[in-house]
Amino acid sequence: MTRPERLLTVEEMCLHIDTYRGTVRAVDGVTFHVDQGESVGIVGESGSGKSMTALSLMRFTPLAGRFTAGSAMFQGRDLLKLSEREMRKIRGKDISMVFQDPMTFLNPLIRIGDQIGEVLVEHEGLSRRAAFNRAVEVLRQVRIPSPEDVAAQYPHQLSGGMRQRALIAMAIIGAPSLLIADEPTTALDVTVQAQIIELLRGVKEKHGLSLLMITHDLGIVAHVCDRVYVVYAGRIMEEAGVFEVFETPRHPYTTALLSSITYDEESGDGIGYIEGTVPSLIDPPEGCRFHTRCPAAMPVCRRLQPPRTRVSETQSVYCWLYEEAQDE
Amino acid sequence: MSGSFVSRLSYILRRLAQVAPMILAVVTINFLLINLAPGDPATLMAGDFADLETIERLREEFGLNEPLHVQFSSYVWKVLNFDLGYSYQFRAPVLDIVLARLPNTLILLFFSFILSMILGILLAAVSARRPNRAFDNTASSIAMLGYCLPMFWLGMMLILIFSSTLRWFPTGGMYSLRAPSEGWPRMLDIGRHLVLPALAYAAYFLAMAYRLTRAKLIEILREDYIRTARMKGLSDWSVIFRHALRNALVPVIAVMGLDFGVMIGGAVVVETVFSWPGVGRLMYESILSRDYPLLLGIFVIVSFGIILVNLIADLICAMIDPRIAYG
Repeated sequence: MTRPERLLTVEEMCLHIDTYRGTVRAVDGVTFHVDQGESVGIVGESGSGKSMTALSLMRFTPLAGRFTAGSAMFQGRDLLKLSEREMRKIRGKDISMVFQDPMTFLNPLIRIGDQIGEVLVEHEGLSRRAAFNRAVEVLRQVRIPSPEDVAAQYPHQLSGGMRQRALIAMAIIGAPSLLIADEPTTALDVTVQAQIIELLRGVKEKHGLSLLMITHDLGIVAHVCDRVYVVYAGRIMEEAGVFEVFETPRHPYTTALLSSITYDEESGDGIGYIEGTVPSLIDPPEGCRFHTRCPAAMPVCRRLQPPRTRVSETQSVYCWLYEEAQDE
Repeated sequence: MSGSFVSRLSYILRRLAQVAPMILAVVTINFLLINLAPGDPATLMAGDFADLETIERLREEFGLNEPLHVQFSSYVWKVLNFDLGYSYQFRAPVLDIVLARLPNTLILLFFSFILSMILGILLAAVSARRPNRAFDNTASSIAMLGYCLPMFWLGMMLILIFSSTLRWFPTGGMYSLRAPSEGWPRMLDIGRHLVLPALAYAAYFLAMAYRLTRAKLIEILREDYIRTARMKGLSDWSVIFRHALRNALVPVIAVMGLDFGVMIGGAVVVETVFSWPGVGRLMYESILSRDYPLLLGIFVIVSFGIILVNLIADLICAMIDPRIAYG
C-alpha cells in the first residue's frame, strides 16, 4: 500500500482567546492530519472547538485570539505563522471553505456569478466577464439547473439548497487542494441535506481534493469521511477510521456520542444522552476534559491529561483506560 | 435578468405614482401654514401712511378678501400652470425671482454635498477597517465637533480667521466688484467666494455622512458574507469597498435624502451669514418683509426639490439593492 502524501499536518495547535471573563482555550493542543484526496471528519458537540479549529486553519480567528503553541503545516508552510498577505494568496486558491448558513454567507447585493467569479478575478487576474463565464461553468458542475440564468440572479432569488450549491461553486472555482466544510448542511432541509452531501462527495472525487468536514452529525461522517477525529472541549478524544468509529469506539465519549444517535433494538432503550454539559473553556477541568461526565472515570483522569494510545493502524485514543494495555 | 428588470421597472412606476399626491399635499400644507400666520399683507404692502381705502383696494386686487377655499383653489390652479404669483416686495413674478437665485444655491449645495459624501465615506472606510484605533478616534472626535457646532457660528469663525485675519478669502458675496464677467477668471472668482460658505455648510453633513457610514460599515463587517469575501482571499480594502460599502450605502443614501430638508434650512443660515445671493437668503428676506407669495413660492419649489431628491435617492437605493424593488 503506497502511502498517500500528507497535505495538512496540525500539531499541538492551541488557540487562546482573551475575553473580559478570562482566557478561552478554544483549541487546546489539537493534533491531526489530512492526506491528499482524503476526507477527514472532525466531530463534536456545540462549543467543542471544532469550528474554531477550522477557522484557525483559515486564520479567521477573533482579534483577541492568539496561537500560543503548535503548528499547521500545509504544503511546506506553517499556516499559523504566515503573514496576512501570504494568507490571502492561500485563501480561495489553495484552501477554501464552505460555511454553515447559505442564507447569510452570500452578499445580498452582488449577482451570484460575480460573487463566484471574484475568486478568479482576485487570484488569476481574469476580467469580470471571463470570470463570470467560468462561474457559469462551475455552477453547471454543482448541478444547478440553467446556470446562465442563476449566475445573473441575486441571492434572494434562490432557495437555500441552491445558495449552498452556489457557495460550493465559489469554494471550488479556484481549484483548491483542501476544502473545509463547516457544518455545511445544518441550516438546510433534510431532503436537501442529502443532496448537498452527495454533491460534496462528488466534487471531492472529481477534483481529487481533500475534504475536512466539520460536523456534529455522525450520519454525515459515515457517508463522506474516510477518517474521523472526535473532539471535546477543545481537545481530541479519539481518532479512527470511519468503520472503527462505529464498530469499535474506544473512548467513553465516542461511545456516549454514538448512543445519543442510535436506538438499541434489543434492549428497547430509547435515544441516549450524555449527563451534564460541555465544560467552560475558560476554566476547563484538569486531567482528561471528559472526566466530569465520564461513566468510567478513574482517579488518574482527574489529575493527568491522558496520552495518545494507538490501538490499531488507524485508531488512537486519548484515554487512561487504554494506557495499561499499551504498557503490557 | 428579465425578472429583476421587470420588478425594477414596476418599482420605479409605483414610486413615481406616489409623487402626485405628495405634491398636492405639499401645496395644501404650504397654503394653510401661511394663512395661519399673523399679519395682513395688504396693510404691509400699502405702507405706513396708507388709508383704509387703499388697503381695501389692494385686498381686492390680490384676491385677499375672497373666502379661503376660493383663494386655495385658484392658488392650486395657478401652481399647476407654473404661476407662483407676484411678489409684493420685488414687484416681479415669483417664479422668475426664485429661478434667478436657484443656480447660486445649487452651486453651494452641490459642492458641499459632493465634498461631504466623498470625504465622509472615505474617512468612514478608513475608520471602520480598524475601529477604536488612533485614526478612528481622531476622526470620530472631529466629526462629533463638526456635528455639534452651530452652522452660523462656524461660518462667522471662518470669516474671522480666513477673511478678516488671514485675508485668504472674501468675507461674503458671490462675486468681486471688479470681477471679470466671463470665462475661467469668473469661475475662479466664484470659486474663491465659494470656499468658506461651502466649508461651513459641509461640516455638518460631512460629519453626518461619516458617522452614518462608519456605524453601518462596522455593523456590516460583522456579517457572515464578509467572511465569505475574506475566504476568497480579498484584501481588507477590497472587502470594504466591494462588499461592505455597497450594503452600507443603501441606508446612508436614504437618510441623506431625507436630510435634504435640513440642508435647505442650513442654506438659509449659511447664505445669510456669507451674504450668498441664493434661495436661502431670499427665503429669509421674504419672511422679514412678509412677502407671502414669494415665501409660498419658495416653499413650493423647495418642497418639489425635496420630493425630487428623495425620489432620486430611492431610485439609487433600488439600483444598488435589488431586494427593494423585489419586496
